[in-house]
Amino acid sequence: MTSLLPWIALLLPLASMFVILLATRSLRTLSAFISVAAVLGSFVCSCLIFFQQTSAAAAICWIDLAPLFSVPLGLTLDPLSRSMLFMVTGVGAVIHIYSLGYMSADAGKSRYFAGLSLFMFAMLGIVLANNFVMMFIFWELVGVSSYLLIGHWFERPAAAEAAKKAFITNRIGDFGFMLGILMVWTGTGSLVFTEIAAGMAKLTAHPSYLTAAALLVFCGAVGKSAQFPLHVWLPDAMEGPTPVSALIHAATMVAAGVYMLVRVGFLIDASSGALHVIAWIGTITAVLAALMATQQNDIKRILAYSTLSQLGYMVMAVGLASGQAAMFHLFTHAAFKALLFLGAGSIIYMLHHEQDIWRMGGLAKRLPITFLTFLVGTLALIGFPGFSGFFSKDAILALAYERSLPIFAFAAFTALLTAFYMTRLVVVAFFGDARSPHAARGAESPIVMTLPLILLSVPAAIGGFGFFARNFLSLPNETKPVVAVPVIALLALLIGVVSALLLYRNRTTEPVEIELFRNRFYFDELYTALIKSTQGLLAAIAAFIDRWILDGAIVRGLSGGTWGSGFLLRLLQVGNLQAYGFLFGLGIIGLIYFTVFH
Amino acid sequence: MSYLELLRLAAPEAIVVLTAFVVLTIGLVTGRREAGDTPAATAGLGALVAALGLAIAAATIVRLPGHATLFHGMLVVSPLNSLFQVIVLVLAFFTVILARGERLLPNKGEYLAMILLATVGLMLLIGSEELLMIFIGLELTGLSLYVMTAFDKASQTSAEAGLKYFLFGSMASAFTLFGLSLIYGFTGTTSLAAIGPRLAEQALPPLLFVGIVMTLIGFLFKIAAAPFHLWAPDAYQGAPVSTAGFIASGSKVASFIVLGKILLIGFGPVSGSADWHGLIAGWTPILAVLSALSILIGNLVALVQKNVRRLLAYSAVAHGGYTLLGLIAGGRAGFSATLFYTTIYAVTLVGAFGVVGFVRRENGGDDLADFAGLRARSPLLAGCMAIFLLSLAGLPPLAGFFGKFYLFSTALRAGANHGLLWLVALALFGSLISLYYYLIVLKVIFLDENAQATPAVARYDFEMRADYLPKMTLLVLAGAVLLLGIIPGTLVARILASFG
Amino acid sequence: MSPFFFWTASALMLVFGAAVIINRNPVASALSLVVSFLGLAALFMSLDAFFLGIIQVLVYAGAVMVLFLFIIMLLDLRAEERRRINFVAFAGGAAVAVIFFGQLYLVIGHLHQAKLPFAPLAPMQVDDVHRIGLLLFGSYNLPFQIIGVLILVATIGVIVLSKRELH
Repeated sequence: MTSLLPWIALLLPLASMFVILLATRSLRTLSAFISVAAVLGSFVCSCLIFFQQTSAAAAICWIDLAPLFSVPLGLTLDPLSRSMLFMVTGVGAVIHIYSLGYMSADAGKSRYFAGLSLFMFAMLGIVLANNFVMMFIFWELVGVSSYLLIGHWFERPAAAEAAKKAFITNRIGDFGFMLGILMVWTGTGSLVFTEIAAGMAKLTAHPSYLTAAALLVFCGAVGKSAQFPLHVWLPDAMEGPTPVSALIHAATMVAAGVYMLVRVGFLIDASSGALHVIAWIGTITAVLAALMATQQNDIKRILAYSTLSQLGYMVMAVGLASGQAAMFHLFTHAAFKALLFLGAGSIIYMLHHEQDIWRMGGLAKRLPITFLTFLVGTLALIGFPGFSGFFSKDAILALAYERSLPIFAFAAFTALLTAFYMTRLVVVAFFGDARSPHAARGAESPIVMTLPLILLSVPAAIGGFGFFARNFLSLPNETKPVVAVPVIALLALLIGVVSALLLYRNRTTEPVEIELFRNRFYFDELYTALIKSTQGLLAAIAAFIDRWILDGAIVRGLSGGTWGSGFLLRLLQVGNLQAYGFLFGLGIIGLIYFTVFH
Repeated sequence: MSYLELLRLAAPEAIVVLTAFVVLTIGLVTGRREAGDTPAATAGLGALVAALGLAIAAATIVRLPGHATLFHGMLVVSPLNSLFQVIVLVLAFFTVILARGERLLPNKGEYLAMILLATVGLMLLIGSEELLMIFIGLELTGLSLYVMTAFDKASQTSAEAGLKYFLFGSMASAFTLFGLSLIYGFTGTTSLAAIGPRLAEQALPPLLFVGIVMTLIGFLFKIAAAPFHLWAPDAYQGAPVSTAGFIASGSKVASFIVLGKILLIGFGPVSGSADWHGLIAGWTPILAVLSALSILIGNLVALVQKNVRRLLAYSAVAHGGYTLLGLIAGGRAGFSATLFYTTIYAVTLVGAFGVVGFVRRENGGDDLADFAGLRARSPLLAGCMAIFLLSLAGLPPLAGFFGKFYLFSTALRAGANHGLLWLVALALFGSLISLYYYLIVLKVIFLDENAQATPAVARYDFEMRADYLPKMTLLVLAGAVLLLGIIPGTLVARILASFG
Repeated sequence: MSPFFFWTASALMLVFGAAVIINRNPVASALSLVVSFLGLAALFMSLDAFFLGIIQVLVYAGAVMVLFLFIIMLLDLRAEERRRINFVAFAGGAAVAVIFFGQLYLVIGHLHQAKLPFAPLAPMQVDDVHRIGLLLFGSYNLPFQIIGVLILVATIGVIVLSKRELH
């Protein structure tokens, strides 16, 4: 029975999706409850697995073409996946419940909950997969479900566009990921993580090959965890419903990249070159995203950039060869970022989809529960001493201090910026006077939405303490505590908070305008221009070919469609046939040249 | 050998030919209306008989002895050949059903007979391991497909496509025949099994390589590998939809299997190597260059297509390029990967063209604009098309994903020191690009509004007409694509086992 | 076979083959094709394949081509109008053809068999009509029958495609 538990946890959401799609599509409320029941069921299974420390899971062979090719269908249950399973189902359950309130009036509720169920299935698949192929399949499924959920309101062009962008950007990363998987497999002859770990000697014999493979695998994480330079999709993904942003684009899916890197830590840690690149990509993402966050006005976008920045921290920790620090931050981040997003959702819901913080103001009094829990989340995010983020961020900072001072400097600067933009957000949105009619009339959200906030604020507050966190994951062991690190971190925090307070207290408009940050370093413009010019060039070439070779004058040259005697002869005069023949002959000549004379 | 023996072993082909006669006769006997349209009864009865004949032929194949060889390989019965003959018969079966709704065709009986005779050609291509017979099979298939392509006499593009296909097909055949005669001149035999050893025991003059290149051209033409692909966009766009589907599926499967057999059995000793660090002359580098070229040209040109059939044609060029990877890798693994990929590709394309056929009947066209808002009009067709296109893009858990994964992994593991890494990386890059244009089609289907306020032709109503059979076929095909993605092992194991 | 005979027959065949395409008058084209077939028949005979050569003359040069001529005359096809030659296309086509033949020439030039004189043919044991009959009904029986199917396809195709539809 225990060996079936992980399978049940995995398959319940899938079953829920099928039931919703096939049977209860028209019964919207029932669909929602089925989905919630499924995720609660998964959560219960995860708890059982977690507390019984189950480690065996039934495995079957999915594709068995030995000795050419075989892929097992197995689940992995080790401390890492058990705690991740617990976290994903826990946060998932909370957000499902919250969605009951947030999406209560949505016409596409069944579709939404079917999408959420599909996502839970895929995400649990990533967590539990014991080999690269399964992980890749679920990896793609997560992408598909994310696509569907971002584009939930597909009648809005921005949402449809954002969904497409997220999907394609992710595929660019996956292109590398797939190549990396193939390289690892060719090198070691196995796809199963434990077997690859055992056969690492075959890879370490070719250091450059190993580095290439590790970096290509990392490409997958760059896409999924939205690291520079593929970070552009995450802020746009905020077009989806807010619970989706909380679940997928803050707490779980985007963290999957980090989880994957930790899962294959043995591969990445074996190549110092790859580690170096990964650490710096994480650092660049952290700093850039934090800079961009300081100038955003949309509450969800600020949180999105902060997510990017925090993911940068995690990747940085992976690059500094400490998977434990990365996972620690992943956990605390999941709690407080989900909390922040749900808080933002609560505000947006009560303000009739107003997302501009400059049109809020004075919400502290009107939405007290939302405010208090949001404050907890903020304190955790900026690393206020005693809150969860403080501990996990401190662990990463200490690590950076120990391994690489330049990275440490950037990390500390990012901490300062984090404190700055979050203080700005809180001050502008919750204090001062109400700056729009909706903000003046807002009232607290229903209990089904505030309860999840309260639930999440507990781990967000105390999740960092050793006595709490140790139950869930192995904490990074600090070898020699350095006093300098917390001191610098606190200093950064203080500077950030105080400067933001001074700058934004009692303001009604943005006092500083930095176009470069506001426009996100023009990455989107750059990419758009690139795609446009490429497509334009291709279209021009294709038009040229069409005009001169393919679509020749036949349609234009023939007036009557009869099969008269002159038909063939007239056809034969047409230039494009000659051009075809010419290219055909050229091809043959080229091939003979290549084979015989080359 | 006796004639009885010949009749017994060639029974499946004979049955299909006889069925073609029966279908022709039905067409003649029941006559035609004044309007030029085939009476519904004729069309229905013809299709029924054709489908029945194909099914009986498939059943006969199953009952053939396991191994038999006639006339030095002119007719070879082996598990591999039987498996793929059945697959081709199944593809023809689906084509016959999907052709049921084909508007236009006044000579339905002849059209069905042509499908059957083309199928005979494909079966012979698959079932023979002798150069002369392969050439005749190639011609039989080609000739039937040329006629089928030009069959829509109300349409100029159909005639144009047929003529182009015919002219270039003949040109390619001429080169192939020249190549075959050179091969015969050097080895003194036309049996594939005997050519290999003869080639292995002599020094290889450059003229032999010229012969090999020319032999390959006819097959590269059939699989539409660049630069011999120029006919494909026109033929896919201009031909009757079911013909286009059959060209893209059955003809391709048979071409790949016979190409594989010629290369691996016949030309095995002159394979050469396409490793980037150790190029050795032979057919492998030729295929590698063509594969790379096809992937690049197919995917890039597909990006800017406005017509769905043309888009599928260019994507077919690219998929031909991927499929060649398996042959380049060689060996059992490589060949099985190629065969698996081409099979699932064929199933997918028959389905995709089925959807195109429905839309064409509704809107009278198959440009992207004609697909706008299909989701609202027929969720079933839109859903099926999504499955087909996403499988082509290689998205898990659909069949296309596993096909590509298997293909690329065998290619990567084939060469010494990952010599084919360059080609695999290129192929992966190509499939990345391909996702973009498939998504464009899906976006049009699912998100765009139908702009045509007043349809040019009388609207074909999806829900009113009882086209259950073709629709069920599409569902079955979509289910097959999904199932082959979830449990691909069964088919691959079957292919591997059939190698013996 | 004497080289002189071979070269004469080949040249005849090639020159008149080209003339089929170049001629704008359908009757002239058809007659050129007849001469080209005669050249081919001569080549067959020089290889001691007398039956094939005779059949080539009787069936192709005789029956088929006469039928062609009849049809051309019945339909009263006029000479195709003289059109401007597209020099770019002409140059392109010519370049491809020249390069191709150049390649073949180089490749065959390196072949040592190409420098040997024609080997004398083995004396015939049986008359070739008999042999061809045996082959067609013996080991080449299957392709022989399949070619029947091929001709059927061609027949149906021609009828369907050339027939006028009632509108």
